[in-house]
Amino acid sequence: MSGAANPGPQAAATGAEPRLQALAHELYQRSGARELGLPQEQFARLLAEIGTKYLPGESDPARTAEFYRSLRIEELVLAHACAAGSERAWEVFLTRYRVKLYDAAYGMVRDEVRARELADSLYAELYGTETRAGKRTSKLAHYTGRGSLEGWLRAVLAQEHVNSYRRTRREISLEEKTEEGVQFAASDPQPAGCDARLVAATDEALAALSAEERFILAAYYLDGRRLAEIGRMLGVHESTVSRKLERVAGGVRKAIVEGLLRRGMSRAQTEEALETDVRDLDLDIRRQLSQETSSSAFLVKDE
Amino acid sequence: MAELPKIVRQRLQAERAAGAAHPDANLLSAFVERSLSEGERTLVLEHLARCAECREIVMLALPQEAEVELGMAGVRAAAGPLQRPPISRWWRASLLRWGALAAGVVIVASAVLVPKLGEREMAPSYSAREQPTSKVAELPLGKEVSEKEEAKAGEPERERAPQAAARKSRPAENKAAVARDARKDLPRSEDVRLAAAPPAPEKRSMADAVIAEATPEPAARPQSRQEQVTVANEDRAAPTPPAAQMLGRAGSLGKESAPEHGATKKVPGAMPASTTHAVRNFSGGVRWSISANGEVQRSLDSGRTWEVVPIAQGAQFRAVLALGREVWAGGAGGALYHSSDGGEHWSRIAVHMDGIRLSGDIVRIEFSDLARGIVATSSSETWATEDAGRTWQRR
Repeated sequence: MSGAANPGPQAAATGAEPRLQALAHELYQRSGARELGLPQEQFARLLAEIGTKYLPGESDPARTAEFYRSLRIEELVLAHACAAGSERAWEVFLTRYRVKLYDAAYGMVRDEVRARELADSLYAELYGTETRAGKRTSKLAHYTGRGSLEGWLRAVLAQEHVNSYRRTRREISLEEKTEEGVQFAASDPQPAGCDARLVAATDEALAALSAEERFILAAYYLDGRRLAEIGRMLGVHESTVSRKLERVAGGVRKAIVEGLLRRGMSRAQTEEALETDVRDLDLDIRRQLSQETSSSAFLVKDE
Repeated sequence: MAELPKIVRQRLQAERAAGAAHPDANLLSAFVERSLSEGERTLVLEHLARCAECREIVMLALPQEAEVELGMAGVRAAAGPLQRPPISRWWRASLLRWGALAAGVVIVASAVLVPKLGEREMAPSYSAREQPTSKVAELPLGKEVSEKEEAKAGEPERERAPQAAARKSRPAENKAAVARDARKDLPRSEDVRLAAAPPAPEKRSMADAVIAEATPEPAARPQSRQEQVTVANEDRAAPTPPAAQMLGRAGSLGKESAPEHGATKKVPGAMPASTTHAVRNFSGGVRWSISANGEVQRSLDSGRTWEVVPIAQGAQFRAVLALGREVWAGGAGGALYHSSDGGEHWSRIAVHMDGIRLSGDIVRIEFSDLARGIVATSSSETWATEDAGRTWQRR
């Protein structure tokens, strides 16, 4: 989701667009960057980089300004001041986030020792253990202020946890997969022993769903998430998720039946195809589940 | 829930986000906090619908449901982090079983003992134990609550109280009258102590006061009880916003002036992901926290819903401390505000000594009692007061 350089955001840094320059100055004043030892030039460069990443080709100064105003400027400055090695920034960071980070780690692994290990490993990365061209690189330099710093820390911690889980299971981490270009295996074109018309009708029905509807289906039926959990992920009440799920599940079945009818099946045959599928695919599903990493395995839930 | 044909599950599982990179932590956290643009959100959702790993990360990255635990994190931090004893499933299941058994025993015991209590209530010795003021703390004060509702609110509490039987000895007295009488006496702290309120510690450590739950001072206890009862009312009756209830109570307490910057802004639902700083303090059902936007927040219902408390336009807060009704909030530019009425009215406190003013952002506020406390700044300054903020000394 990054793109080529664009003149709008860069203008904020270079001062080519006076309004954006004024905005950059205003944000700098508001951010407390000076107190944390972050120079204005570095701040402007940071804004330009973020703008370039998220607003490729955006030339409307009003939109650019709106985007910059939506950033968590104070937290952005804090993170980058920490990345730059400001002691004062680290003091503030630790005051604000140390406990939360340990708490979030505990929420993920539900084990004191592992939680401490997880949080400590992230701390090491936040502080910057890797050196690039003789310089320490802190993970905090990747924070862009799109969401809260706390939320970003939780997301990074979750990634770390998933990767750590994969490492212990001798699986390939997400980064390694990305580097090797095998992160997304090609989808199975057609399950063995299944009617091609059924597969086509199902794919057609799923393709007609919105992203949110597919997300809800996947989270509920594949990941085994509770309605309340899905609701929290989407920021809606669980009753809303329940209604949508009911509607989508019913709609998908209906769409498959219609698709099969269009492909020349009788109504009795469509019902038989769906029922047959349930029996025949049972073993196949089990096989797939045993191969795929169960997503819920990452999270130890209290039940 | 409707059963989904297995072919659908199979095809869903076979779908992969071919060719697309995983969204980074910035986008995933912004997705959780709903701060992405509509287009970006759709793109992320498209990916999530096909990527189990990212769905898992989003799930793990959600703020914890029980914000109480976040508040308790401060306590753990004071004594070393992560000292929460893990609760096993077996223990939970046992708890459930024994809990059900205990409930059954209580019900049977009640059925046997209640008639006997009814006989004993007429005895003079039991009547002498009646504390007319004991019901005071069990009833709401808000004038917006009708007499009938007040009586209803008080009813369950009365049934539980040991004075219940004694109260039955006054059959002519209707519940509304009880409520009226009770309200007259409400502000008396001695009365409230009778309502089984836990005794507040004499003095707390600084660390406890800052990042842990703030146990209310005895004088602050009446408000906590009022709030708990009023919240209970809301659960039964129409869902009146707690903020409105709070303002109503302020009015009934004789404080006429409105907050300086308008009414509080209600944040519906559970504590939103975008405003999930640790709960700093809570007193009874009232909790205080700082949002990720630097706003002071208050929850009147044990963290289920949060409302932004407007203090000063444009102020960015970093620390909040509540000691009962006394609330302190500090933040950017040395801004320090104090409320002595639970956050209804605020006054700015100037921290200075011999012409030197506090500089930097206030990142920590600690009070060992209502008068003595310190504020610490991001520029490593520490200022102390021993007279509730009237004068300050730089350390």
